[in-house]
Amino acid sequence: MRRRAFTIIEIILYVALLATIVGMLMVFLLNILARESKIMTIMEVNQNARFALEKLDATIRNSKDATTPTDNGGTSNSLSLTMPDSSTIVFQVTNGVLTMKQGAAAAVPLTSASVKVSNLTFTNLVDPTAHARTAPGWVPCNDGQHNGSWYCVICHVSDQKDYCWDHYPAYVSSGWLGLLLDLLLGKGKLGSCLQATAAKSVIRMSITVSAPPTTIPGNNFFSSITLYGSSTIPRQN
Amino acid sequence: MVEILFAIAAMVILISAVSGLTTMIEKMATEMTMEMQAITIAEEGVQASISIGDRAFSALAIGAHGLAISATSPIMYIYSGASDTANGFTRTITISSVDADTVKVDVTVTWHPEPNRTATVQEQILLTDWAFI
Repeated sequence: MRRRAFTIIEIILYVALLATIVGMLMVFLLNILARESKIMTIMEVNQNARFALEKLDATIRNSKDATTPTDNGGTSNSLSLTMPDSSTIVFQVTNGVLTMKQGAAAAVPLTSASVKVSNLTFTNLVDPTAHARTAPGWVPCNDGQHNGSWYCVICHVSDQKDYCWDHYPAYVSSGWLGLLLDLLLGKGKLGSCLQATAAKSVIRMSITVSAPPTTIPGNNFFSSITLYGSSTIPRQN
Repeated sequence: MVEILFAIAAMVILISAVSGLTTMIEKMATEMTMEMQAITIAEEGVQASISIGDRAFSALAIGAHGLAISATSPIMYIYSGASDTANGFTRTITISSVDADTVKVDVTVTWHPEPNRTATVQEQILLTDWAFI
Protein backbone atom coordinates (compact mmCIF):
# COMPACT_ATOMS: atom_id res chain seq x y z
CA MET A 1 0.00 0.00 0.00
CA ARG A 2 1.43 3.34 -0.97
CA ARG A 3 1.32 6.24 1.63
CA ARG A 4 0.44 9.70 0.44
CA ALA A 5 3.37 12.10 0.92
CA PHE A 6 3.28 15.75 2.00
CA THR A 7 3.24 18.26 -0.80
CA ILE A 8 5.74 21.12 -0.71
CA ILE A 9 2.89 23.55 -0.05
CA GLU A 10 1.77 21.56 2.99
CA ILE A 11 5.31 21.49 4.36
CA ILE A 12 5.68 25.27 3.88
CA LEU A 13 2.31 25.78 5.58
CA TYR A 14 3.24 23.59 8.55
CA VAL A 15 6.63 25.24 8.96
CA ALA A 16 5.04 28.71 8.80
CA LEU A 17 2.44 27.67 11.35
CA LEU A 18 5.08 26.20 13.64
CA ALA A 19 7.22 29.32 13.35
CA THR A 20 4.22 31.50 14.22
CA ILE A 21 3.36 29.39 17.26
CA VAL A 22 6.96 29.29 18.49
CA GLY A 23 7.27 33.04 17.94
CA MET A 24 4.07 33.75 19.88
CA LEU A 25 5.18 31.38 22.62
CA MET A 26 8.51 33.18 22.93
CA VAL A 27 6.82 36.57 23.18
CA PHE A 28 4.46 35.27 25.86
CA LEU A 29 7.28 33.65 27.82
CA LEU A 30 9.40 36.80 27.69
CA ASN A 31 6.40 38.82 28.83
CA ILE A 32 5.74 36.47 31.72
CA LEU A 33 9.40 36.53 32.77
CA ALA A 34 9.40 40.33 32.66
CA ARG A 35 6.21 40.47 34.70
CA GLU A 36 7.71 38.07 37.23
CA SER A 37 10.72 40.39 37.42
CA LYS A 38 8.38 43.33 38.02
CA ILE A 39 6.58 41.49 40.82
CA MET A 40 9.87 40.52 42.46
CA THR A 41 11.04 44.14 42.21
CA ILE A 42 7.86 45.43 43.87
CA MET A 43 8.22 42.87 46.66
CA GLU A 44 11.90 43.73 47.17
CA VAL A 45 11.18 47.48 47.34
CA ASN A 46 8.23 47.00 49.71
CA GLN A 47 10.10 44.65 52.03
CA ASN A 48 13.11 46.97 52.27
CA ALA A 49 10.95 50.03 52.94
CA ARG A 50 8.85 48.27 55.56
CA PHE A 51 11.86 46.77 57.33
CA ALA A 52 13.64 50.14 57.39
CA LEU A 53 10.58 51.89 58.82
CA GLU A 54 10.04 49.23 61.49
CA LYS A 55 13.72 49.28 62.49
CA LEU A 56 13.63 53.08 62.79
CA ASP A 57 10.39 52.94 64.77
CA ALA A 58 11.65 50.32 67.23
CA THR A 59 14.96 52.12 67.78
CA ILE A 60 13.29 55.51 68.32
CA ARG A 61 10.85 54.05 70.84
CA ASN A 62 13.72 52.48 72.80
CA SER A 63 15.87 55.59 72.78
CA LYS A 64 16.27 58.25 75.47
CA ASP A 65 16.59 61.36 73.35
CA ALA A 66 17.07 62.64 69.81
CA THR A 67 19.94 65.07 69.27
CA THR A 68 19.45 65.35 65.51
CA PRO A 69 17.06 66.70 64.35
CA THR A 70 16.69 69.27 67.09
CA ASP A 71 13.54 69.80 69.15
CA ASN A 72 10.67 71.95 68.00
CA GLY A 73 10.59 71.43 64.26
CA GLY A 74 14.16 70.54 63.42
CA THR A 75 14.44 68.66 60.09
CA SER A 76 17.31 66.47 58.99
CA ASN A 77 18.28 63.71 56.57
CA SER A 78 19.90 61.83 59.42
CA LEU A 79 18.71 60.78 62.85
CA SER A 80 20.95 60.74 65.89
CA LEU A 81 19.58 59.02 68.98
CA THR A 82 20.90 58.71 72.50
CA MET A 83 20.11 55.30 73.94
CA PRO A 84 19.42 54.49 77.62
CA ASP A 85 23.02 53.23 78.03
CA SER A 86 24.20 56.66 76.73
CA SER A 87 25.48 55.18 73.47
CA THR A 88 24.61 56.93 70.22
CA ILE A 89 22.89 55.48 67.17
CA VAL A 90 22.92 57.35 63.87
CA PHE A 91 20.72 56.54 60.87
CA GLN A 92 21.59 58.05 57.52
CA VAL A 93 21.73 57.30 53.80
CA THR A 94 25.13 56.53 52.31
CA ASN A 95 25.31 55.89 48.56
CA GLY A 96 21.62 55.05 48.44
CA VAL A 97 21.78 52.59 51.33
CA LEU A 98 20.21 53.24 54.73
CA THR A 99 22.82 52.59 57.41
CA MET A 100 22.78 52.35 61.18
CA LYS A 101 25.90 53.25 63.12
CA GLN A 102 26.10 52.50 66.82
CA GLY A 103 28.87 54.24 68.75
CA ALA A 104 32.29 53.66 67.23
CA ALA A 105 31.23 50.48 65.44
CA ALA A 106 31.13 50.33 61.66
CA ALA A 107 27.88 51.37 60.00
CA VAL A 108 25.55 48.46 59.24
CA PRO A 109 23.44 48.54 56.05
CA LEU A 110 19.71 48.17 56.65
CA THR A 111 18.57 48.11 53.03
CA SER A 112 19.82 45.82 50.28
CA ALA A 113 22.08 46.93 47.46
CA SER A 114 19.38 46.08 44.94
CA VAL A 115 17.26 49.04 46.03
CA LYS A 116 18.04 52.70 46.49
CA VAL A 117 16.92 54.93 49.35
CA SER A 118 16.41 58.26 47.63
CA ASN A 119 14.77 60.23 50.40
CA LEU A 120 15.04 60.00 54.16
CA THR A 121 13.64 62.85 56.23
CA PHE A 122 13.20 63.21 59.96
CA THR A 123 11.34 65.99 61.76
CA ASN A 124 11.34 66.44 65.52
CA LEU A 125 7.86 67.69 66.28
CA VAL A 126 7.97 68.34 69.98
CA ASP A 127 9.10 71.28 72.00
CA PRO A 128 9.36 69.49 75.38
CA THR A 129 8.49 72.62 77.32
CA ALA A 130 5.41 73.35 75.24
CA HIS A 131 4.49 69.70 75.15
CA ALA A 132 4.56 69.14 78.91
CA ARG A 133 1.13 69.00 80.53
CA THR A 134 2.30 71.40 83.17
CA ALA A 135 5.19 73.80 83.31
CA PRO A 136 8.37 72.15 84.55
CA GLY A 137 8.96 72.68 88.26
CA TRP A 138 7.53 71.64 91.60
CA VAL A 139 3.80 70.94 91.60
CA PRO A 140 1.57 69.72 94.43
CA CYS A 141 0.07 66.26 94.09
CA ASN A 142 -3.60 66.95 93.80
CA ASP A 143 -5.10 63.51 94.23
CA GLY A 144 -2.72 61.72 96.55
CA GLN A 145 -1.82 59.21 93.80
CA HIS A 146 0.30 56.57 95.46
CA ASN A 147 3.67 55.38 94.40
CA GLY A 148 3.54 51.73 95.38
CA SER A 149 2.57 51.87 99.07
CA TRP A 150 3.79 55.45 99.27
CA TYR A 151 1.71 58.51 98.69
CA CYS A 152 2.91 61.45 96.67
CA VAL A 153 3.21 64.69 98.62
CA ILE A 154 4.83 66.95 96.06
CA CYS A 155 6.31 66.28 92.65
CA HIS A 156 9.03 67.83 90.54
CA VAL A 157 8.18 67.76 86.84
CA SER A 158 10.73 68.12 84.08
CA ASP A 159 11.07 67.06 80.46
CA GLN A 160 13.44 64.27 81.47
CA LYS A 161 12.45 62.67 84.74
CA ASP A 162 9.98 63.42 87.48
CA TYR A 163 10.68 63.07 91.19
CA CYS A 164 8.18 62.86 94.00
CA TRP A 165 8.44 63.39 97.69
CA ASP A 166 6.51 60.43 99.06
CA HIS A 167 5.04 59.71 102.46
CA TYR A 168 3.98 56.38 104.01
CA PRO A 169 1.30 55.16 104.65
CA ALA A 170 -0.72 58.24 103.84
CA TYR A 171 0.24 61.84 103.63
CA VAL A 172 -0.82 64.27 106.30
CA SER A 173 -1.10 67.05 103.78
CA SER A 174 -0.14 67.44 100.14
CA GLY A 175 2.05 70.14 98.68
CA TRP A 176 4.61 72.25 100.49
CA LEU A 177 2.92 71.86 103.90
CA GLY A 178 3.12 68.08 103.58
CA LEU A 179 6.77 68.27 102.64
CA LEU A 180 7.49 70.60 105.58
CA LEU A 181 5.71 68.29 108.04
CA ASP A 182 7.55 65.28 106.67
CA LEU A 183 10.88 67.03 107.00
CA LEU A 184 10.09 68.14 110.57
CA LEU A 185 8.95 64.65 111.52
CA GLY A 186 11.80 62.99 109.66
CA LYS A 187 9.51 60.97 107.42
CA GLY A 188 9.03 60.46 103.71
CA LYS A 189 11.42 59.63 100.90
CA LEU A 190 12.29 60.78 97.40
CA GLY A 191 10.77 58.60 94.68
CA SER A 192 9.66 58.61 91.09
CA CYS A 193 6.31 59.97 90.07
CA LEU A 194 3.61 57.73 88.79
CA GLN A 195 1.94 59.83 86.19
CA ALA A 196 0.82 60.06 82.62
CA THR A 197 2.95 62.61 80.89
CA ALA A 198 3.60 63.82 77.42
CA ALA A 199 6.27 62.30 75.22
CA LYS A 200 9.84 63.54 75.23
CA SER A 201 9.90 63.73 71.46
CA VAL A 202 7.82 62.74 68.47
CA ILE A 203 9.85 61.96 65.37
CA ARG A 204 8.08 62.14 62.02
CA MET A 205 9.90 60.30 59.26
CA SER A 206 9.50 59.56 55.60
CA ILE A 207 11.50 57.17 53.49
CA THR A 208 11.43 56.61 49.73
CA VAL A 209 12.80 53.33 48.41
CA SER A 210 13.05 52.59 44.70
CA ALA A 211 14.51 50.01 42.36
CA PRO A 212 16.15 50.41 38.95
CA PRO A 213 13.64 50.45 36.06
CA THR A 214 12.43 47.06 34.89
CA THR A 215 11.72 46.89 31.18
CA ILE A 216 8.68 44.97 30.09
CA PRO A 217 7.88 44.87 26.37
CA GLY A 218 5.84 48.00 25.82
CA ASN A 219 6.06 49.06 29.45
CA ASN A 220 9.02 50.64 31.23
CA PHE A 221 8.31 50.02 34.88
CA PHE A 222 9.74 51.99 37.78
CA SER A 223 9.02 50.71 41.28
CA SER A 224 9.09 53.19 44.13
CA ILE A 225 7.40 53.47 47.52
CA THR A 226 7.27 56.29 50.05
CA LEU A 227 6.34 55.37 53.60
CA TYR A 228 5.57 57.72 56.46
CA GLY A 229 5.97 57.04 60.14
CA SER A 230 5.71 58.73 63.48
CA SER A 231 7.46 57.38 66.57
CA THR A 232 7.53 58.59 70.13
CA ILE A 233 10.45 58.85 72.51
CA PRO A 234 8.90 58.37 75.93
CA ARG A 235 10.00 60.36 78.92
CA GLN A 236 12.37 58.47 81.21
CA ASN A 237 10.57 57.79 84.46
CA MET B 1 -4.72 19.28 10.48
CA VAL B 2 -7.40 18.78 13.13
CA GLU B 3 -4.77 17.64 15.64
CA ILE B 4 -2.75 20.77 14.94
CA LEU B 5 -5.75 23.00 15.49
CA PHE B 6 -6.47 21.22 18.79
CA ALA B 7 -2.85 21.63 19.84
CA ILE B 8 -2.94 25.35 18.99
CA ALA B 9 -6.20 25.81 20.90
CA ALA B 10 -4.81 24.01 23.93
CA MET B 11 -1.64 26.09 23.83
CA VAL B 12 -3.58 29.35 23.51
CA ILE B 13 -5.74 28.40 26.52
CA LEU B 14 -2.66 27.49 28.57
CA ILE B 15 -0.80 30.65 27.65
CA SER B 16 -3.85 32.81 28.34
CA ALA B 17 -4.27 31.21 31.74
CA VAL B 18 -0.63 31.73 32.70
CA SER B 19 -0.67 35.27 31.33
CA GLY B 20 -3.89 36.08 33.17
CA LEU B 21 -2.50 34.67 36.41
CA THR B 22 0.69 36.70 36.07
CA THR B 23 -1.29 39.86 35.35
CA MET B 24 -3.42 39.23 38.43
CA ILE B 25 -0.37 38.70 40.66
CA GLU B 26 1.21 41.84 39.20
CA LYS B 27 -1.93 43.84 39.96
CA MET B 28 -2.03 42.43 43.51
CA ALA B 29 1.61 43.40 44.07
CA THR B 30 0.95 46.95 42.84
CA GLU B 31 -2.12 47.27 45.04
CA MET B 32 -0.19 45.85 47.99
CA THR B 33 2.30 48.69 47.56
CA MET B 34 -0.51 51.24 47.76
CA GLU B 35 -2.09 49.49 50.73
CA MET B 36 1.23 49.46 52.56
CA GLN B 37 1.54 53.21 52.02
CA ALA B 38 -2.04 53.71 53.21
CA ILE B 39 -1.38 51.68 56.38
CA THR B 40 1.66 53.78 57.31
CA ILE B 41 -0.35 56.98 56.68
CA ALA B 42 -3.10 55.66 58.98
CA GLU B 43 -0.53 54.64 61.62
CA GLU B 44 0.89 58.16 61.50
CA GLY B 45 -2.62 59.48 62.15
CA VAL B 46 -2.90 57.27 65.23
CA GLN B 47 0.51 58.31 66.59
CA ALA B 48 -0.22 61.97 65.91
CA SER B 49 -3.53 61.71 67.78
CA ILE B 50 -1.74 60.16 70.77
CA SER B 51 0.73 63.06 70.67
CA ILE B 52 -2.06 65.66 70.44
CA GLY B 53 -3.96 64.00 73.29
CA ASP B 54 -0.84 63.85 75.47
CA ARG B 55 -0.37 67.56 74.98
CA ALA B 56 -3.95 68.47 75.84
CA PHE B 57 -6.71 65.93 76.00
CA SER B 58 -9.24 68.66 75.22
CA ALA B 59 -7.58 69.06 71.79
CA LEU B 60 -9.13 65.71 70.82
CA ALA B 61 -12.30 67.47 69.68
CA ILE B 62 -15.26 65.33 68.67
CA GLY B 63 -15.66 65.29 64.86
CA ALA B 64 -13.70 64.70 61.66
CA HIS B 65 -10.22 66.12 61.28
CA GLY B 66 -7.32 66.29 58.89
CA LEU B 67 -3.72 66.21 60.11
CA ALA B 68 -1.16 68.97 59.71
CA ILE B 69 2.01 70.29 61.26
CA SER B 70 1.87 73.73 62.83
CA ALA B 71 3.63 76.42 60.84
CA THR B 72 4.82 78.40 63.85
CA SER B 73 6.57 77.41 67.05
CA PRO B 74 5.91 75.14 68.83
CA ILE B 75 6.12 72.85 65.79
CA MET B 76 3.83 69.92 66.42
CA TYR B 77 0.98 67.83 65.06
CA ILE B 78 -2.32 69.67 64.90
CA TYR B 79 -5.74 68.91 63.48
CA SER B 80 -6.64 71.00 60.43
CA GLY B 81 -9.72 70.78 58.23
CA ALA B 82 -11.95 67.73 57.91
CA SER B 83 -9.33 65.59 56.12
CA ASP B 84 -5.87 65.82 54.57
CA THR B 85 -4.63 64.51 51.23
CA ALA B 86 -1.12 63.55 50.11
CA ASN B 87 0.11 61.49 47.15
CA GLY B 88 -3.44 60.46 46.25
CA PHE B 89 -4.29 59.23 49.77
CA THR B 90 -6.99 60.97 51.79
CA ARG B 91 -6.84 60.63 55.57
CA THR B 92 -9.76 61.38 57.87
CA ILE B 93 -9.38 61.25 61.64
CA THR B 94 -12.76 60.86 63.32
CA ILE B 95 -13.01 61.34 67.05
CA SER B 96 -16.05 60.17 68.96
CA SER B 97 -16.83 60.12 72.66
CA VAL B 98 -16.85 56.84 74.60
CA ASP B 99 -17.28 58.27 78.09
CA ALA B 100 -16.27 61.37 80.03
CA ASP B 101 -12.57 60.45 80.03
CA THR B 102 -12.24 58.34 76.88
CA VAL B 103 -12.49 59.02 73.17
CA LYS B 104 -12.33 56.68 70.20
CA VAL B 105 -10.05 57.72 67.36
CA ASP B 106 -10.77 56.23 63.93
CA VAL B 107 -8.24 56.92 61.21
CA THR B 108 -9.51 56.15 57.71
CA VAL B 109 -7.33 56.35 54.62
CA THR B 110 -8.92 56.10 51.17
CA TRP B 111 -7.42 56.00 47.69
CA HIS B 112 -8.36 54.99 44.15
CA PRO B 113 -6.47 51.93 42.84
CA GLU B 114 -8.52 52.35 39.65
CA PRO B 115 -10.57 55.35 38.47
CA ASN B 116 -13.92 53.92 39.58
CA ARG B 117 -12.80 51.94 42.61
CA THR B 118 -12.10 53.18 46.13
CA ALA B 119 -9.99 51.27 48.62
CA THR B 120 -9.90 51.90 52.36
CA VAL B 121 -7.79 51.04 55.38
CA GLN B 122 -8.80 51.90 58.89
CA GLU B 123 -7.08 51.98 62.27
CA GLN B 124 -8.66 52.59 65.62
CA ILE B 125 -7.48 53.48 69.10
CA LEU B 126 -9.06 54.43 72.42
CA LEU B 127 -7.44 57.32 74.26
CA THR B 128 -8.01 58.05 77.94
CA ASP B 129 -7.49 61.30 79.80
CA TRP B 130 -4.99 60.41 82.49
CA ALA B 131 -5.27 62.53 85.59
CA PHE B 132 -2.01 64.38 86.08
CA ILE B 133 -0.46 63.47 89.40
